[in-house]
Amino acid sequence: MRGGNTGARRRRGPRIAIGMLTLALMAAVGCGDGSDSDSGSGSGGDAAHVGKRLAIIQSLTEGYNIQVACGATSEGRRLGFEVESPQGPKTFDPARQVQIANAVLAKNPDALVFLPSDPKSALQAVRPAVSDGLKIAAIDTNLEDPSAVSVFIASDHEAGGRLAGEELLREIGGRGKVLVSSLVPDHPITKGRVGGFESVIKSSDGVEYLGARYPEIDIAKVAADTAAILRKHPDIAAIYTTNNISTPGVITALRDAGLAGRVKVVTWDYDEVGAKYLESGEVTGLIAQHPREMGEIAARELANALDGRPVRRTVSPPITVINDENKDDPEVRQLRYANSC
Amino acid sequence: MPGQLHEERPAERADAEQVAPEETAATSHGGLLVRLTTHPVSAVVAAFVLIVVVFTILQPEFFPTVGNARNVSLDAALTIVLATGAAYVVITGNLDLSIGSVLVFAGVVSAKAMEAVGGQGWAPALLGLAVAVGCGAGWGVLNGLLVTRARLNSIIVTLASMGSALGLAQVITGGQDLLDVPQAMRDFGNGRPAGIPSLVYVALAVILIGGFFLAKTRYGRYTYAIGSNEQAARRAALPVERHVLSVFVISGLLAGLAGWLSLARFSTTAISGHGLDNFNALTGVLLGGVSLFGGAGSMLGVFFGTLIPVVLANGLVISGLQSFWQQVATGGVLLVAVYLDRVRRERAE
Repeated sequence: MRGGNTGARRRRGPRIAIGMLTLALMAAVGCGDGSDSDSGSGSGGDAAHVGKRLAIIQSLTEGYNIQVACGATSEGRRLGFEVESPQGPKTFDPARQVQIANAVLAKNPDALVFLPSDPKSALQAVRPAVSDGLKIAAIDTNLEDPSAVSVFIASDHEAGGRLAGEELLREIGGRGKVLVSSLVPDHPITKGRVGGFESVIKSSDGVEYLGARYPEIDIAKVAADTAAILRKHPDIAAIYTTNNISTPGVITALRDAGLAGRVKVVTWDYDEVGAKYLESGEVTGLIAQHPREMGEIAARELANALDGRPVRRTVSPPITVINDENKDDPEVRQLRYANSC
Repeated sequence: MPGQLHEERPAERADAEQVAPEETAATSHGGLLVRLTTHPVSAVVAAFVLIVVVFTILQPEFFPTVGNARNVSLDAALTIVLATGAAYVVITGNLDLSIGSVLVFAGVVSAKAMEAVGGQGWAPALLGLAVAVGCGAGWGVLNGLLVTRARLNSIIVTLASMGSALGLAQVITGGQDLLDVPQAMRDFGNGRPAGIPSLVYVALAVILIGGFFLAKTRYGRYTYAIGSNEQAARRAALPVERHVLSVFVISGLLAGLAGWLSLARFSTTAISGHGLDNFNALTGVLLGGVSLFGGAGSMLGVFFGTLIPVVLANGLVISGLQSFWQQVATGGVLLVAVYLDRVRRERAE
């Protein structure tokens, strides 16, 4: 490769380096805008946790994480915690999350609602604080050593996959060709979502199951993969997708083939992507998790842990199937992973 | 694809004569057959034809159809736009790893701009296009300046901008994909004037123009000359720095255009769904016979080089195989193509 020659204009170096540093700082400052910090109302009784400090560390700052924080904050305050404003990296970045965790734990909170980016690095970050008595509620991803957490809260993705299978069978009247389009086959969440779905679909006589596709994590590759399948099977009845990259890829391929809206699509998560396609009718079934409720459960169980009351070790909050019939119900609309509380 | 884009190393003009004295194309070997078999793009075209024939035999009902040709061309369109820019960069002896991230960044800023002005017509869509192309060009300027003025290796520079561009895209959006795109733009992205997807027209226009400038103009000759021997190009008083800067701008600009096209097609910024774009484009460029060390290659080769992985993926899926096999097969084809290219070069010397 050319361009690596450091001979001639070396003196320009520092100025450019300063420019790059400024850019990096600007990016870092952009991350700093937190939401309101609150000092807690102290409305609870005289239990041991009242007045204790509850911190929240997110894996990202998007709808799902925001809803977890909303639930933990409101329930935490109701219980008498002093709730710190939630902190998390803007991008999925385990190393950055560890830095954030170190900063949050430096203020010695008593309890932590934690959505770890990585089971190993997250454990390293909190281990000293745990031995000093920090109580942790882990959400979605457990720490590598589960004994470090008081409670682990996550949706049962396999059960959700079964619900998706039942919803899809209902929508196609139990017959026709069915395809799964997913990503990253060895991811535990993918495994649960696909495994549960397949257990329902494979035992249905009227269905011709075309198998699960795992293209590379690239929206264009998902679209190309689905387009080729549609070429072979234009009479496909339904497609099940497990994440919000697969869904737009599959729907683009369906549009290209003139099949959008005619082929049933069942997918996961009531985020922006899910809401958009549910609205347009291109997604016919949606498996919604309850992130706000997860945050509420986390706050309650942490209060129990600090009070020395029994704590549930693992909790699977409910999962809701959204379809044409219930999508306008107010309690269903509330499940949307909105970007504010 | 018209065939006039194929000059591997065009005859140098007088002002660049001493830059690449080693050889011109293999035309001196005489007979048409010899010229065909030793032509630099013959290996990649042969591989492409072979793949098409094999899948036509395996899946005569589903593979060789008009509808499937439309699928394949649409699947390849975005990569062709990216690969055209990447080819210029590689021919100068540099690499641009940032194009996938720049695509996402340009798409995000473009979507934000269109959201800000609002409306469903062509006015916001064209504003979005200008913003996307501008953002892409901006990253190109940054990359180009760091390579030419700060004299940093282009792999390091574009590795850094790859991370920064994607990171900034995530900062701007908070990691949340933007999904609002003007209706006119979506209609364009999913439209098919005369039965051919609009994105395919754009991709063909881009690679034809790119190919013309590379093969037929002084700009193209400078590109080859700098890649062949940068020191010689400097001694011949070619504007090496300005030229290398400009190829990074072209690469960034086309990544910005691809960002807008991707928004038009998918109506989402798909922040985490473009991680492989730079490698897809680079694979197409290298499969097409562009030398990783600069100085050689043609747009015709890049065109077929980009199509090969796409056709492989399509054919393998239609044949009922998991698309993992496409990665395996593309790797194999890439090795064979590079090997044949080396053999051909050795024979030509």
